[in-house]
Order: sequence, then C-alpha cells, then structure tokens
Amino acid sequence: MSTVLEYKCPNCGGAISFDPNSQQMKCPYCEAQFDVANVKDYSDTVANETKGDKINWDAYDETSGSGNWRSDETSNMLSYVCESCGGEIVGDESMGASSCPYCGNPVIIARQFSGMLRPDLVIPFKLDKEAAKAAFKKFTEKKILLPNLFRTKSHLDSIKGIYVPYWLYNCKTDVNARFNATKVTHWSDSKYNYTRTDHYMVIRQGNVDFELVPVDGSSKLDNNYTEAVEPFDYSQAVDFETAYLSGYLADKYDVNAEQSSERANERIKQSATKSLQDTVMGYTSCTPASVNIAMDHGNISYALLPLWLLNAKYNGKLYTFVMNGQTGKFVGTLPMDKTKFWLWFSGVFAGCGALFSALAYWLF
Amino acid sequence: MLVFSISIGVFASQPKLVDESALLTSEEAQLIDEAAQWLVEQYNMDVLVLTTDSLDGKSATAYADDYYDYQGYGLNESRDGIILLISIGERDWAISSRGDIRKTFNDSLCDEIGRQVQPYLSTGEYYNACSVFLQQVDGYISGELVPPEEGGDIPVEGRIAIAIGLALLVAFIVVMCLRSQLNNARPQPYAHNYISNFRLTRQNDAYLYGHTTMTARQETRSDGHVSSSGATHSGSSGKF
Repeated sequence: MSTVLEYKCPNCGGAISFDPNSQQMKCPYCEAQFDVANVKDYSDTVANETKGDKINWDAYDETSGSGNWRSDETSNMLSYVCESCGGEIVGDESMGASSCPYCGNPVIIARQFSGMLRPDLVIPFKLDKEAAKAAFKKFTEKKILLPNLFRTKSHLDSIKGIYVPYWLYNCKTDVNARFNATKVTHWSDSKYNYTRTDHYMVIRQGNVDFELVPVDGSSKLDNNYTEAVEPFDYSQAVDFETAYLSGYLADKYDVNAEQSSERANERIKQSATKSLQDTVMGYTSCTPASVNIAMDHGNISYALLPLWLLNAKYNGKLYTFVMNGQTGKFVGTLPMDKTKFWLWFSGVFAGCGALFSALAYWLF
Repeated sequence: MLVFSISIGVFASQPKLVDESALLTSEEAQLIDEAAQWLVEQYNMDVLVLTTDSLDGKSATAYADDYYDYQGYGLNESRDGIILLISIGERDWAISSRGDIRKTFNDSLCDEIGRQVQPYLSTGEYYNACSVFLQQVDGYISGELVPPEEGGDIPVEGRIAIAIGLALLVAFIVVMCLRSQLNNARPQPYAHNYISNFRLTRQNDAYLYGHTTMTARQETRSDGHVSSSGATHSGSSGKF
C-alpha cells in the first residue's frame, strides 16, 4: 500500500501538489507557486524542528548560600514586621526601624530574626542618603507636567536604604529560530508600477549564555521598578558578610526562585531570539515564525542588591521612588497636573492648527 | 463684463449664430449674434452658436466638428474657434473647439461649460443658454474665470480639515511625550545586559517563493479627438 506524501504550502499551510504544466508546486488555496526543491527544504526544516522549549533550572539549594548562617551573625539581627501591609524587613538591632519602607506606616514590631536565607552575594551600597535626596530633587526638575506644588508641598517622608532580595539566573542556551523574511523591490515602466515580494525562510541557530539575570524576589516591590533600576554592576559584588547590613535594612524574599524563574525565562527567550534576529540582514522585513530554546547548566543564586527607597506624600497620596544604590539610576512615578496637560494640549493644537491651516490654504 | 454692442462685423463672412431651429426670437438672435461678434473681434477666435432640428444620424460631436470644419469656420492658420451646437430633435448639445485655443478650451473645460449651459437647455431657456455659453467663453479666455483643476484635487474645506486633524495628532503626541517624562518605571523585556557569550552556530537563508503585483499607472489622458476632416478638436457633449 502506497502512502501519499503531503506537503504544506509555506504561505498559507494548505496542501499543495505538483502542477505538471508549470513543473512547479502549486497551492490551490493561495495560488502561490514554488520550486519543488524549495518546498522540500521548507518541509524538512519544519518537520525537524523541536517543538517546545526545554528549560531546566537546577532547584535552588537552600542550604547553599555559602554556608548556613553562623550563629554570631544572626545574634544582632531582628525582624521587623509592619502591622499595616505585612511587609517584613530585617535589620541590625541598632537600626531601630521606625516606619515601614513600603507603606509608610510608623508602627512596626520587632521580632526575633528567622526565616531568611543567607545570600550568596551582595553588592554593597555605593551612594549615601544625601545622594538619594539629590537624585530625587533632580528627578523632579524639568518635568513640565508636574504640579508646581509638588516641589514645595511634598516632603520626603522617609528615605531608607534596603537590600532587596534578587534571584539571579545563569544558564547556557542553545537557540534555534526560524524567521519569515521578505525582500520587496519596486520599479515601473511607462504603463505600470511593479512590486515584487520575495519570501525567504531564514534559519539562525546559536549559543547564548546568560549570567546573573535578575528577578526580584520580593512581592512588596513592584517589578517594574526593580527592573527599571537595572543594570547592576556585578563586578562589584562580594561574598556576603553581615557587616554590610549594618545601617541598612534587608528585605526577606517571599517569592521563591521557581516562581521568579517564569520572568527570567521570558527575558532570556526574548533576548536570545532578538540576538539571533539581529544577525539577519538585507531584508525588508523579518518576523520570527518559530523559536525553540534549550537550556543547560541553569543555576540560580540568591543576592541582596542595594536600593534606596523614598516615600513622598503629596495630596494625601503616597508616591514611591527607587534609586539604584550602586549606580544611582532613579526610577519613579510622579503625579500629573491635569490643568497643565490640557493647557499644553490646547496650546499646541491651536498653534499647529493655525500653522497647518495657513499652509493648507496658501500653499496647496 | 460682456458688453452687448453693435459692432462693425469685419468677419461677417460667416454668421456667428445659425438658428436653423428658430429657438430664439429675432431680438434674442440679434443680441447673441452681436455678443458673439464682439468675442470674435476681441479675442481673435471664431465663435459659433448653431441650432439644428436633427443630427442626421451623426453624433452631436461629429456634427459640430463637421459643420465647423466644412463651413470654413476658424480664424488664423490654426482655425481657432469654438462652437456650441444645440440639436432640438435628439435633445443633444455639443461644444467643440479647434486650434491654439484648445490649450484653454480642452475636453475638461468644454465639459465644464456644457455643465453650466445644459440646465437652461433642459428648461427651454435657449437665450439664456446661449448667453451663458458666450459669457463662459469670455470669462475663460480673458482669464477672469479659472478652469477647475484637473483630477481629484481636494477642495479647500477638505484641506483645512486635514490640517486640523494633523494639528490634533501633533498636539496629542506632544502631551503624551511630556506625560511619559513623569514615569520611568518600565519593565525590561530583554536580558541583553547579561549576555556573557553569543555564538552563531548555524545560519541558512532559503528562498521560498515570490510574486509580483502591478498597478496601472494614471495615464495622462490625452486631450481631444480627430474629426472626419482629419482635424483635431477638443470638446464635450451631452443630453438636455
């Protein structure tokens, strides 16, 4: 019994067959015509593609972290719990943390230190409180739609230096990507304008290694902020010693490594695909058709990275700002003055409207 | 403004009004004739208003062309002139021009003049129709009237609307940019900063297929047609 080989059309996916008149493969659905060799090439490639990613993170060994806590390390540390938002931070007992860095609530209770992993590495603070204040001031300068009163009436409730827990992901990946690319050319003669679109199947395969991709392990801090303060310079990372903590607070992680790995996977896959896509040159357009990533040597470290957390109260609302304690990158959301917004809109609209109307009337 | 006056018709060789169907009263006919004479003298171009009962099986354009050509109308070497034909039997009108003035009175302008004249023909106001014809000819040849521009030009109101729409868009973009200044907490979609090693192991670009589409170019429509005498006329015609 003979089997019928079915080939799929690279353009629309329908079943195509050999057309003896043109000696080419013809698709009855989308009318595209292909060289027999090209279709075979395409079919083989697609058939041999591995479907689905292979992502394997070694489970984070909680007993690692360069050894367990030594007893002398933990003797001075206390846990502080906020009654209002449930945030829990850790600090030197001399810290005497007075208000919650997350919600501004002044009532926090000190408890015995427990339930926190010893980090693998830490990046110490390079910038001090004054630098944070200055950065805040600079951030509010030149913001046209910021309400004027913000600069005078808001006050920095608190500026706290916190070591934020991050999971750092290392891996070696093997990425296989297939792109649909086109080359479009135009030309004309006396009677017609012509457009030719040539379709290509572009394959790129490569190894992309990632080191220390950070995902924050604290649910209390918005990931948009903790990602926006990147990058950190890991060359300045050191093995953890409690000494670095004194004078600062440290956050306990409440999102574990496995949960955070989802975000890491997203970023890694995106980055790997883009790296491959950047090597595709000479085409008018290029879009990924299928990407497959296989990961190896995936391991996770646990680090404490320095952030300055500033809370400002304005009009009864709390605005949070974050500064990278190592690089000084400042991130935050400022309120917008609605009146100014509409004034600017009307102003630009009126100005451009008058200008364009005048041009439309006189020139064309 | 068109001046109706009695002028010494130097070109009385060819009557400027031939009213075979007697659509005009004798006073009206005289006025039209005089006005046409004035145009002829003023602008060095021939003018003819012709009415007839039947087209004798010809098309209105062919009839107008032939009458003009074979009856010897047209001044100068290029036989410049314009004719309005009204055929009461078929209820057809035609306007035809010949010579250098075809630059002004091309197909599209003859069409435009026809559109101005036709309503009066439909209502039987033949004197007004002829009057309007002569006024239009006077207006366009003197430069007082400007021919409507070719091919789909956007009227002023439309252009202003587009200008306002654009201004709206620009204003929107500007304020959105200003607004985005206020917030820089953005997630990072890539991990490019953490790539320690990148090595391409395989690349292959394979041609799949291609196709060509073509669109016809807007041809500049050539103006005019050739009449039975071999001369080139511009013109238009229609029913009333």
